[in-house]
Amino acid sequence: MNRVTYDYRLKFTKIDKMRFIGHLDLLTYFQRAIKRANIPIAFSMGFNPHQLMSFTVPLPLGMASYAEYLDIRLEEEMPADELKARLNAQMSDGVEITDIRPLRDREDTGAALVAAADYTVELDFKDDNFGEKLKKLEEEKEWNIEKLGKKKKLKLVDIRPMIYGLICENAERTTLHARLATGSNSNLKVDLLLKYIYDKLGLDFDYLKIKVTRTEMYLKQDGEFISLMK
Amino acid sequence: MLDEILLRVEKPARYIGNEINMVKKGECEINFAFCFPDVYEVGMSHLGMQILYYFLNRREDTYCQRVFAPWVDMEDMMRAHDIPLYALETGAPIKDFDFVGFTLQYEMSYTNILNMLDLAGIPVYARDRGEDDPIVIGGGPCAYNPEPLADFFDIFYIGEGEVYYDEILDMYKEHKRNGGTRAEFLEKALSVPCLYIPKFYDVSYNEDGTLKSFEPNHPNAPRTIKKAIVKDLDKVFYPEKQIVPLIEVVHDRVTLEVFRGCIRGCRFCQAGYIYRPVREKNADTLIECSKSLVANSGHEEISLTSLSTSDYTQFVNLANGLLDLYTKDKINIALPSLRIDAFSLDLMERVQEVRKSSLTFAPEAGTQRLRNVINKGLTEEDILNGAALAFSGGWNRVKLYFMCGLPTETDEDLLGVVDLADKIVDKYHEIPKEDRPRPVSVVASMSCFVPKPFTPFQWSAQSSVTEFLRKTKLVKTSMTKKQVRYIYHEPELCSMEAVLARGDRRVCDAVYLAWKMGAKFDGWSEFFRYDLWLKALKDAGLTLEFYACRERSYDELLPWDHINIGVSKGFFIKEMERAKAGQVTQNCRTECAMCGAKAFGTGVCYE
Repeated sequence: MNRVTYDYRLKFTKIDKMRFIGHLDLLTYFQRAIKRANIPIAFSMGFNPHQLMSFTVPLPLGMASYAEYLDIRLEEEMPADELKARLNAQMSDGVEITDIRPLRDREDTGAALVAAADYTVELDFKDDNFGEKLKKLEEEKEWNIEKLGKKKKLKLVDIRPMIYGLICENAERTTLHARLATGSNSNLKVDLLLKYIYDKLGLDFDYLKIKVTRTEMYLKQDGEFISLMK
Repeated sequence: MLDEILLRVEKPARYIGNEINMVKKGECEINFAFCFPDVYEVGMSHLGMQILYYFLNRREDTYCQRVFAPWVDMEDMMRAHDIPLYALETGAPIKDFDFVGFTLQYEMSYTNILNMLDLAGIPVYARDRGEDDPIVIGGGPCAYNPEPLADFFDIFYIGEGEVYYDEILDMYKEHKRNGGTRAEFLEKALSVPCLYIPKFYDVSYNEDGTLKSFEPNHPNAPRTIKKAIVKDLDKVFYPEKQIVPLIEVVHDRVTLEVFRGCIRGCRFCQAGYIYRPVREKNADTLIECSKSLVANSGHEEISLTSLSTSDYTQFVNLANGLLDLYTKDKINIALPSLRIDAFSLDLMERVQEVRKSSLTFAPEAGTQRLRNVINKGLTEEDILNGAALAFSGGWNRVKLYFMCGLPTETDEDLLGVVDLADKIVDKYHEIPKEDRPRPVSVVASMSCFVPKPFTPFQWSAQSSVTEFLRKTKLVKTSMTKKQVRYIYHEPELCSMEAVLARGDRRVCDAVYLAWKMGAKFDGWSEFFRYDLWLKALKDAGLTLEFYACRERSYDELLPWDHINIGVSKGFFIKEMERAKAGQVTQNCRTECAMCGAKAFGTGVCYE
């Protein structure tokens, strides 16, 4: 049976206290919000029906984000603005739907499309020469790290090709702006990148002292990064 | 700093608040910290807290905020970084609040109370508190014997919170505006009939350690404190919403309180007496109530809560009403504490279309003789018939709850547990082989009997740890069927629970010493330290045997005799004698047993 359904993509923040909610709990959070908002969500068929929704990429617990994406499927069409307003009326401080749009015909889910994400990384120190040090590091063609492979064997991986951009800024603390490969094809975790840099520069690495914020997610089309909301 | 700490502890969402339906307010004249002395997931599952939270917050002048016991990892962090215990709503330290209220649900959480006070920077002993410290108030079932906590609390509230909190807070507000002292407020509070203020009473002891006298030392202090109960549950405040946690908690669902009290009169059960008389809510009221709770929470399950849901007189109407309303929205109806019969099985079949979870029976004792002693109405026939019905309906898992160490118990009664479990297995095998695709599983769970105040068994001796071990071993070694799994509890923990349940004021020192030595989360078996508690008792000059294993005489002055629950001591004596004679007492609806609760002028006594 073919059902007529309507798909929407939501862009939302997950900041402040809501950083401390894990991914599975966030799923329950949205399921309940959708129920409270009385949104005509579509359910899966089968024995144990569940709401049809899909997150683009889980956000690690503790990380803040201004650009999380959630695709949801509705039984009835709704004006995007109304959907946004009704959901926002159900959010706790720290999660806010900032943008929403209907998906185009046959458009893939965010999870299938995502290719890169931007991060703002506030380091645990201030060093005016950090930019220079980073430049020097970038002279090395390969940034090899040891990673546990599928058969639990350590293997060397070059993370350099997964870094699409890395800019240093000196604000109150030294801050990095990074665009990193994200998604099922190629994925670079922020902590791995930071550990590499800290190790190379002989710095003590305590990831929990570093504040990481995701600021956007992209798909790649004709060699260009395009926001998942566009 | 707090943010970084939260990243270093397990489940940081326990400590952030910010849940759905959390109350946000500006500055209020009265700040009330509602403390649950256990971890977040346990406390958030507690209905009483949800009710009182919204009840107190419905007052414009009052801000009630929640506090839970931080888990040990968080406690370490808080102590290391000098972060005082704070309330979840605003993060404000609770030391700055007007009231710090603890709900006393379980004896083994007492050390957590001390720990929380200490973490908050509030002196643990009431006598050490000054004008800048909050009033520490306790309520809930364990407040009915407040003595083992008497030194740590300024006030105990005996009974149901909805009745007198408005009066107390109004009085406090006026007192605060006039700039009164703590001592003055406590004196004024003597005018509220359900408040027990320990410092206005003096205790003396006989040479054998029993109580000699318990006397008020203030002219306005009442000789007995009468519990407060809600007369009309249909009219009393009930919240339209619940706090919806951001992480999974023990019970994550809409809770409907169907009635308070219990008509049954099981002689070991404290809840069956302290909440008398039974007062019901109307099915229509409950259905209306459910609508807003479901709409405001987004929960996927509604649970009916009471001590024995099958005894609800409007059960059929309520169950049908809820099913009609919610089946299409895929909202599950949970029915705990149901008696298993044809009707309830049919209902269970309807509420949980797919899953056939296990069925629970609570015979509590292995033989009919002992079940009569404890006044558990359930017969072997009831159980076997219920099981047979369930098996033919496709169920194949049964859970049985028993207690060991009940008054008058013999080895024969213990072996009856094995016998009953075996008979249930046999019952399953009576159905034709082709109709039972899965093997049967019976779990027999045995806990240790803890005599509680305000029960006919309040005078009874508890088995010693050695006896408990012998008894559980006897049952274990007598189990032969492989389909029966036997689970038993730690007697050491139950033994300490018995001390705290029936302790007098001297037990306060043992609680303090145990806490000082590091006792906390005693209800969690991985944290419970029996050796440490024994040492604490010894250092306080007390023995476990005196409080737990000693049979008391009817004329002994009991530490809780100054609390009046409406059920008379004479009734308990009569019930204890009937127990010894193996005589069953009818439930409240069949025949009034003249317990005394009729004096409240409401409920089942007037049906």
